[in-house]
Amino acid sequence: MHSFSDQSGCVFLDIHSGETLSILMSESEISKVLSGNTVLDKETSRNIAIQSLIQKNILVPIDSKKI
Amino acid sequence: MSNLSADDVCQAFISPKTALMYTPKQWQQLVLILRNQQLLACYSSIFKQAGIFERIPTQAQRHFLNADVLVQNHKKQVLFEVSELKRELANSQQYFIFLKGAGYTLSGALVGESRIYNDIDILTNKESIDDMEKRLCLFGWLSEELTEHDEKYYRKWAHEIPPLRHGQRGTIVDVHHNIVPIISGRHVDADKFAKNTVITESGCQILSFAAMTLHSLIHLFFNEEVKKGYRDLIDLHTLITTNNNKVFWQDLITLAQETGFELELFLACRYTQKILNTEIPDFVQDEVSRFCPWNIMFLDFIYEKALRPNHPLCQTRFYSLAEFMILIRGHFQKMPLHILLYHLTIKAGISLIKSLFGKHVFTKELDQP
Amino acid sequence: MSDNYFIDLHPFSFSVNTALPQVINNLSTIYGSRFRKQSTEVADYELSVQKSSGIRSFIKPQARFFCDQQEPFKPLNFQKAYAFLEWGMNWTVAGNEVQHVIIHSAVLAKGNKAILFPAPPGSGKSTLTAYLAHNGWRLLSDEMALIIPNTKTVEPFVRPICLKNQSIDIAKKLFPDGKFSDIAKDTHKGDVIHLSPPESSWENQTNTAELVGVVFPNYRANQDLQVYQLDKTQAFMQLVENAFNYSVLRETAFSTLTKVIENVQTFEIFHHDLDQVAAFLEQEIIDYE
Repeated sequence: MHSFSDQSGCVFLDIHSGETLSILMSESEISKVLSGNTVLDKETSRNIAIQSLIQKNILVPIDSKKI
Repeated sequence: MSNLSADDVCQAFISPKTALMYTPKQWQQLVLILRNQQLLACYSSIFKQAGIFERIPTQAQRHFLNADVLVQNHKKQVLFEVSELKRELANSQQYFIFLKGAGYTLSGALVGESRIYNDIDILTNKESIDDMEKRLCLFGWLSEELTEHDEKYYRKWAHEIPPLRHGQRGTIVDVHHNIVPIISGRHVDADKFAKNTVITESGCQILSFAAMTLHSLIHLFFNEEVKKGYRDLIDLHTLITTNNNKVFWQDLITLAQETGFELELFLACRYTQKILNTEIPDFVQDEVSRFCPWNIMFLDFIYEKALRPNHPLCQTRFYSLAEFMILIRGHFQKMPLHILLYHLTIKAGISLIKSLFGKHVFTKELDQP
Repeated sequence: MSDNYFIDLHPFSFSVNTALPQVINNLSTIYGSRFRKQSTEVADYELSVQKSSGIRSFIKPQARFFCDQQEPFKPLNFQKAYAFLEWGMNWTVAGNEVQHVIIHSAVLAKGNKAILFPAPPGSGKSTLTAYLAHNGWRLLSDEMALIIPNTKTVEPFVRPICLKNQSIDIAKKLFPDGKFSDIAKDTHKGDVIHLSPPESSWENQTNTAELVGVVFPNYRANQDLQVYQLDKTQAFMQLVENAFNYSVLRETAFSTLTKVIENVQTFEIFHHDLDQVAAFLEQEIIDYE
């Protein structure tokens, strides 16, 4: 994973498939979502992106009940 | 300095230090020959093991390093595809065994370390093959366009369904239900092979090393195509060398006898030894020498040529003749004469049209770079 | 009879076997002294361009391309043989070379500061490239940028600039002294011509440069220059999309490109006037540091 210094977002390399994914959220925003402190609207593209990263085991929710 | 010969290329495999005498031009010839045979990465690891990699001229070294990266990537890609296939076929009842290249890679043994191959081969039983094709189709694996004749040949006479290509990733899967064509009269019950398997750590079914070796040598000596013969011979050498123990040999000999491929086993021992100096234990020599055929001089003539590196730069005398004889022999072994004649006439008809109108008269649209 | 020729194109070299005068003449126009009959040189790749055989070759002759005995493409109309060879060379490098992260992009430099111009066809990239190369910039690449892994250093791979359709006339007017190849008509890219970069680019063929910017150009008729700063995530993803061997190099490519993007300025521009673009690049990117 790389989080860009301009806070524009983070990019991930899925080592298993070789696929590269991006999400337009900063590292701190992502960890807020993963820990359940921020709840995203289900319809937003950010939420969809996070869910797909979780599905691919690239991101892991810190408290799985809340997500 | 003279051009590199096919023997020089073999010699570099047997004792890598001989390559240190090469001129830059000869190194480059080696690179061209090996790239063509998909053996750059294999030789790269041999040179590294011999501790002489650093002494290869920089220009040639780069090509070996390129091959190392490509092979590493290939391996990761195969492991990914295999895990996808495993997931996609998880609920099916039938067994599926990864054969050839993918089997080598999954075995984790040396034979899979520097291998590049174009498709992933799977063995299953005949009854499940349609079901498997349908199931894979759901996940985006579709059969490629073939000429009508080829399609018929595949389904009716050959031992597999046409190759399936993944729509997005372009990977090709070949599903077999036997290891030689069913009409050859020598087909083996695929189940015999299915009994000689092991499960890898990642939960994939592959052939045991003895069965893997047998399959590899059947593939080489029961086939009409030897374009990659030298590479296949190196596979055999590696399989034999890394498993050179009594149990392995006994299993291999027994399995060869059970399936009726004793002659092929004899040939494998003979030519790995002749061409690559492979160490074959005495008791094995004694055992397999019983299978020496009457026409061994003829076979020596063709195989000693055809199993050496094949490239215009280093082609041995009579190589093309040897290759042609193997084509005939391969077809002859696989098919009853009347079918063989039909298959060859159709093929010949197509080649005739191709030679008259240019090779690409049949292609529907130009596939441009 | 076909002969073997040698093309020395740092950092790679090719031998080309051909008997086609059209190919030989174009190679000689474009590559000048870097193209010669092969004697003792050792090439990295053996290429060949031949006329296809058979009756069809009399009615509608075709050219075939081979790289090390392999024929990766279907034959093309004979008239396009030279352009075919150029693409074949690109294919060969893209498929075999993994010592660099290779981006489908032009690279131009002032001094040792380089800017990457990745762009899809139709974006006016090549016209911009040709213009800059003839106006005080040095061309490092037209289509294949070679980045040394884990650095922002670009290795030059000087090749002709590939111009398409309307830009052919524009370029012929702008650079009356330019060394142009014949026009290859009706390719998958339309009409195509190759233009050899000025001698200064060739002379610096072995000098690397450091990346300071990534600019995605978009040509728009009658559009005054508009500049948008691109955020780094977007710029990174666009580079990934344009990388030839990204999927092979995996972690190496990922870390190289993140490093590049972190350390350069990233813009998207919409332009019509090439003078304005050149002024912007110099003031805002080259002189910025």
